[in-house]
Amino acid sequence: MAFSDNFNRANENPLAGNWTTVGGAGANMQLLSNQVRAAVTGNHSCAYWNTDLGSADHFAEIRYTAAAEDAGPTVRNLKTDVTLYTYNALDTGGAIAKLIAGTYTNLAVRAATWAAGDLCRLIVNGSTLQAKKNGVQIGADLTDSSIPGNLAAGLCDFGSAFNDIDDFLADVLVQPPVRGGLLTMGVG
Amino acid sequence: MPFYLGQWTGAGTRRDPCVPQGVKGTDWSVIDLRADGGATPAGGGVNALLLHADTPQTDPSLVLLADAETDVLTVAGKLALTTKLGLASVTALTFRDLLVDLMTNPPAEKWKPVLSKPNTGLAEINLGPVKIATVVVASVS
Repeated sequence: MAFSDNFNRANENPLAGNWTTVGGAGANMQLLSNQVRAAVTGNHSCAYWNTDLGSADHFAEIRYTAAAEDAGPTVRNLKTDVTLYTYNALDTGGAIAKLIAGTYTNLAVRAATWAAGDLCRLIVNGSTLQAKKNGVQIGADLTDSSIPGNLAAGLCDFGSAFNDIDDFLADVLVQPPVRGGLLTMGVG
Repeated sequence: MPFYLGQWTGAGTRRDPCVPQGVKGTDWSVIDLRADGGATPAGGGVNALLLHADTPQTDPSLVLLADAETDVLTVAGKLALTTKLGLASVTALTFRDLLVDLMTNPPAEKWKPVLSKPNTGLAEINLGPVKIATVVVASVS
């Protein structure tokens, strides 16, 4: 089941409803003017969708509302601290990164030119990560094995400025069943 | 398309993130081999990574392991790997073999093995242009 939020409702600080913010005091995500952003600059501000997705193999997508924002979608969020994978459109021109217990690591520079309205999707499948801009993959697939589970997805704002994010979407990946047994070949 | 053994530097914050020490350029990717997966910048006992960069790197902290995935590992490369990763030995012949060995059967108390994709049953190992699909045999406890 897909989870989505267009944030078109009354302001919330912290972001509420289906969301929980993480990151410590002063690091809330807030809903302001039908978009979300950090409540305070200079902090990691992350939020996850409260209901777990049905699989650790899933994606999260957000829409940037300005160019090269210091923010992005997150997957495999741990709910008890800031552990997750993310894409950051500002970091080194764009990078796939991870936070493990709050420690920020760049895994791959995936430079792209981001504009207001662009969709950023981060996909995790097994130990493979992919980033997409408007449906087109940025760079090659990436391997990281440090977050094997976690069923939550969300978004982060890394607070260099007030980065607005809109139109969240998350879902599990469509996984065709593995066919067991012998392969058969049709004869036409 | 060179591949290197390196280590992490940085405080692990957004303003000073962990990045491969000495890396230059705007197109690179890594496989993180820290023992704690990156919970601490120094890695909790093993501070190591495998780096692919589109351009040759000159920093002395980066040890060149191969220019292509089929390259045979050198004695110097294997020595660097055993020292940096705390391994008794490296038996892999090629860089591709090394990736499979390290990521499907890591040493105890080090980094985690790669997971299989549910739709294929195969685990993928990706580093720059290298893309390996392999079977992961679950250990029996």
